[in-house]
Amino acid sequence: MKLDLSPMASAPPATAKRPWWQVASLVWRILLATVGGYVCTVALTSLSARLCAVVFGLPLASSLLSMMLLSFLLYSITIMAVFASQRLGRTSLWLLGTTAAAMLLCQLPALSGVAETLMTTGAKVS
Amino acid sequence: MKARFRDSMNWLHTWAGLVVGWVLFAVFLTGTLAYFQHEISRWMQPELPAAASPEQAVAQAQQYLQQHAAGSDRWTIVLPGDRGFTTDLFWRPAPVAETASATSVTQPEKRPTEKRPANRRFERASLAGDGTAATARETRGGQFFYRFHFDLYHLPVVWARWIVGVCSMLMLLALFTGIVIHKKIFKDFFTLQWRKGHKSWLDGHTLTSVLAVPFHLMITYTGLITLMFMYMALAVSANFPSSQQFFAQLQGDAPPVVASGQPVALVPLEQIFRQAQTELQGADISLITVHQPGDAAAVIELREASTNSLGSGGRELRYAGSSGLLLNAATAAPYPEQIRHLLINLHSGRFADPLLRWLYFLSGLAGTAMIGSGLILWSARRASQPGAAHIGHKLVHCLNGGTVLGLPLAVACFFWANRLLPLQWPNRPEWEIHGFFAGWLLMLLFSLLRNPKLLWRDGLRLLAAVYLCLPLLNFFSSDRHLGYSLWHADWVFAGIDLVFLVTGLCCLQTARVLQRRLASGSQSAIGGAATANLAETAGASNR
Repeated sequence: MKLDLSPMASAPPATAKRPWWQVASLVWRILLATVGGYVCTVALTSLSARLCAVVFGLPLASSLLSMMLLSFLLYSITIMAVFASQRLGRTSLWLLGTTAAAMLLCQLPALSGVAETLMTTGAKVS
Repeated sequence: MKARFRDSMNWLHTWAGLVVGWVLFAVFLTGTLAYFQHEISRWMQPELPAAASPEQAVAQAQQYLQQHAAGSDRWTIVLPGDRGFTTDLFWRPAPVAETASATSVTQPEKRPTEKRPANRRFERASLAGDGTAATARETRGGQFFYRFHFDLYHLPVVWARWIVGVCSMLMLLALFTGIVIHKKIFKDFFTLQWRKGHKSWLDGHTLTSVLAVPFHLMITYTGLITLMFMYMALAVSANFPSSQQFFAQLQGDAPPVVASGQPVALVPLEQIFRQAQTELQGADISLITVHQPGDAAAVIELREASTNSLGSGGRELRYAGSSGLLLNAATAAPYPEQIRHLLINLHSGRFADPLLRWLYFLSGLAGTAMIGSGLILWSARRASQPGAAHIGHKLVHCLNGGTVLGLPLAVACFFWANRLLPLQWPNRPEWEIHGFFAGWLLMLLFSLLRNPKLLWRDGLRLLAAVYLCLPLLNFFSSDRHLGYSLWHADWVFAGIDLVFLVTGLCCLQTARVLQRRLASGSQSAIGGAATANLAETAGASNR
């Protein structure tokens, strides 16, 4: 039986007990969407900012700001995707995998160099 | 989750909207009122004379600060602009031994939850148009609504902003999912049905949503952008050793101003103000900061106002305080920073002329109505289901009444307190705010205790009474009553009194409609029972 809290559905009374795994699944989905989605958004924002900095030769601060302006849109899409998914386990793996991949790609010499240059040379006014 | 994408989005729309709906309602309503924060402040200080011109205000501010804040290391002057009526001055006082204590007209800027060391606290004074300290009644005025809509109250600022941020994010989700689930969004818009119980609430929710959906999307997204550096701080710290380096790279790094210890008279600020206006091609200037005034190393910073156009604001000029020489030319910020600035301007609407400001205001009211109708819709639909007696449903019903009726009552109580509290009442601004929360609490208690079927009718009658009496109260408590304002074409005072009247009449009319329905024994408009197939009809139309 699927967990259905919709006000429109012919739902069981709110007082009816639900199996613990359904509640746990819902809690995990909410955590995955909010916390996991946030970390994934930050990772993808960082990666895309570094890519823009390298490809277009922009200062990292400017490219990061550009991506941050779009980050709430990305975060919203991620949350909606998590809530729309039918297979929570597969979605969890996708989200964690994407986050890990983005964080690892940020460590590539070509991309991490953007930030390291900044650290060694100090703050540069764009 | 759900089998169909649209069902999943419907679930997310319902719960994302419900969980934070009450906070969002408060944020939307106070934010909407904040579009007229200067006008509200003006209404709440009827004793104030007309404002000074910007040049006069600058000269008056310098004179006042030289007398009262001579030992301070920084002065900040907020100019009145087109809509303001006072020049606001802030300074950090020198150690007690070096300067006289603040005079009785100064008002320390404080929040109950903020604790700063005594020597770090800013002193504040407001100058009237004649250059003297404003002797009007002390009040937070419209500024209270402005601050409340993102700082809330009785909460640490950081916590409050995070709460508002989370609520805004959920609002954004509710908007996106709302667009997804309403497949026949425009058809629904043109088939508004009155007196159909829950169906009417759904139609009303759809109508207020669709009518201003670009505004709702814009205001929510740009609201998140205004506090983006707080919410996305992790992205900054993941890429920069410190946030200071990020901002230095983005906006340039102004060197700190260190006092030389050699006293030199400050150049006339009025002269610098004129120079800066020329340098900025006549743009308005909103803020002047003087670092180390009276020292040879003094620096004067002037910031462009964001009132000229959507893209205006943000340019800064720095002058030497001892010689008046321009230290840096105004340079354009990087494009992403300009876009961020533009989005913030779009949110705050400071550039808007009166007509556009009224459109902002009406759209904000539509957003508030959208949230309110969504909350009521949730409660009304559930009333027909078997679990209607569940404590959660009762809680939602009470919170709906306490918030949707309570916030307007709280706003009215804030204005009543402004007129009823004695002028010399100690800590007067705080007591006005206590009045605001007392009104809110009163309606929460009322919704808890009152028969659910009669709650909305009686609540609306109460609202009608307090709003219709406000112009009367203004008549008896000040000489700027509606008749005087209309006669003298003072549209600030007249406009606010008329808005009170219109609000009161709307509440009265709605209460009368509810009374007629109760009397005829028809289905309750808000909290009554509904037939089972009505929920299905509503659900079907939603799809």
